[in-house]
Amino acid sequence: MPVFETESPEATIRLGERIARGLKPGAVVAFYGELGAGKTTMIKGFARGLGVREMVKSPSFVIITEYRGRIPVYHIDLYRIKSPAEFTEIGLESYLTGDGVCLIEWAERAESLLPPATTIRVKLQVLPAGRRIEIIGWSEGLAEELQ
Amino acid sequence: MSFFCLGIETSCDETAASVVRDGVNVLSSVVSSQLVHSLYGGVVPELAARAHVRLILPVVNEALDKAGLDVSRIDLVAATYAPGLLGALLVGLPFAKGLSYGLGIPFVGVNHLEGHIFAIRLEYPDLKPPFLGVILSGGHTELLIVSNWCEYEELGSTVDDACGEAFDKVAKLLGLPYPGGREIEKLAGGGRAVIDFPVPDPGGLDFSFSGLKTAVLYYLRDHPEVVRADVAASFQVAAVRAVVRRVEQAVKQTGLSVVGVAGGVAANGYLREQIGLLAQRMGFRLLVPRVGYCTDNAAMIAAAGFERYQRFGADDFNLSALARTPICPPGDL
Repeated sequence: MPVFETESPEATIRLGERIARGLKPGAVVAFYGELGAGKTTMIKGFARGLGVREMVKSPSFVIITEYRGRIPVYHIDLYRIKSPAEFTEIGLESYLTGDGVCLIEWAERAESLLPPATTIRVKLQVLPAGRRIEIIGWSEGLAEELQ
Repeated sequence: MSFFCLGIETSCDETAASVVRDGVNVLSSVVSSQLVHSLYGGVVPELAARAHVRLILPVVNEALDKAGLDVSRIDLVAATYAPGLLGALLVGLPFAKGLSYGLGIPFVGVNHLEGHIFAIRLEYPDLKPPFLGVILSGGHTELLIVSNWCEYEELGSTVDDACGEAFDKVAKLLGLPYPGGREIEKLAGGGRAVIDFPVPDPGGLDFSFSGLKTAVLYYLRDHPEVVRADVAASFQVAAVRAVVRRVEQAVKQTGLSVVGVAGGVAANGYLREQIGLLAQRMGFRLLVPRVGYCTDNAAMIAAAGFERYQRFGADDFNLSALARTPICPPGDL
């Protein structure tokens, strides 16, 4: 599974943008990493790669923000959600198998609900300088294209 | 003759109801702070929606009781329709519509951000636009020209985290309880602002607070022995400096001589002090409502609803709740 190191927020955004270009409707991208690890930053890149032109902001407060790209983009932030039960009860489950791409921050809060076949996992880690970004469950073809 | 507007607000944490007479006279303002959230380190949306359902009727009844009015005396019902958590909005909005239908009185939907602007008018009833509006809260960071009541021109907003969100998240990094804004201010009071945290400048009149959060994260990682109060004080200075810088630019750019600040972060004493110093230096009139009008409340919704009703008449019952919408009339969507 590919591991990248990025040296700046801009590099993280570019990486996200390149990965996102290959995403199809129904894809779920789960982001993991501590506060400040760069999840929202990388999602700015994913959104760009999916054709979103609007400014992507942190949805910690509103939980979910929908954007119109070449396909619908659902930016979900589970920072304030504590369990899979809450995830289901506020109706987020229906987005996971919908017509667009789900980009989910703090995905571990709803881990058991992520569809196994269509979920890509992105783990961000803070390095002394930059970020280590590990991508799991992503097709080899795409990975090679990026190397 | 008096005109009574019942305002209802359920866009996020608070279930709130208020009766306002003639758009500016607050007869009652009941806010049920859902302290249950402090147990979870954040707002728990599902819980919020569920608590709204449980609280809305008692809160509305208390607002009527405190105003000394029977519900039959109400002339208009106003409720927040956007932006916010859908599950939470979908408690207050249908409740208001139902009440309006049942009583045979008009209903008006209010944008939560517009409510924050009207909080300034509640405190300063003689205020006349144009003025510069600054909204700083957990979910929003907006700089706008209020060219007339219910007419706005957006100047800038955040490109990543909201101002209050930065306070909450840095509070979390410092191991402080939720809600973090007040906790940061308290802790900062005993600290010295000796760390120079950079605040990224996204250009124009926009804000960016994500980088500041990351700078605090790095600092804590690299200096585990640091005095936490110093970090809180330094962060607060950096965040407030970023706000003051933008207000200064906006005043220069627009030439406006009145600045109104609202939203939960406007409750921060250091922010009030610093913008106050800027006001003295630049010679503009600074208006900051009392804390109870800065944080989420329904009096501001009633005030905005009253004005909207005067200008545009009642809204249709098919007005839907929206999670995200700019500050503009429902009719413009």
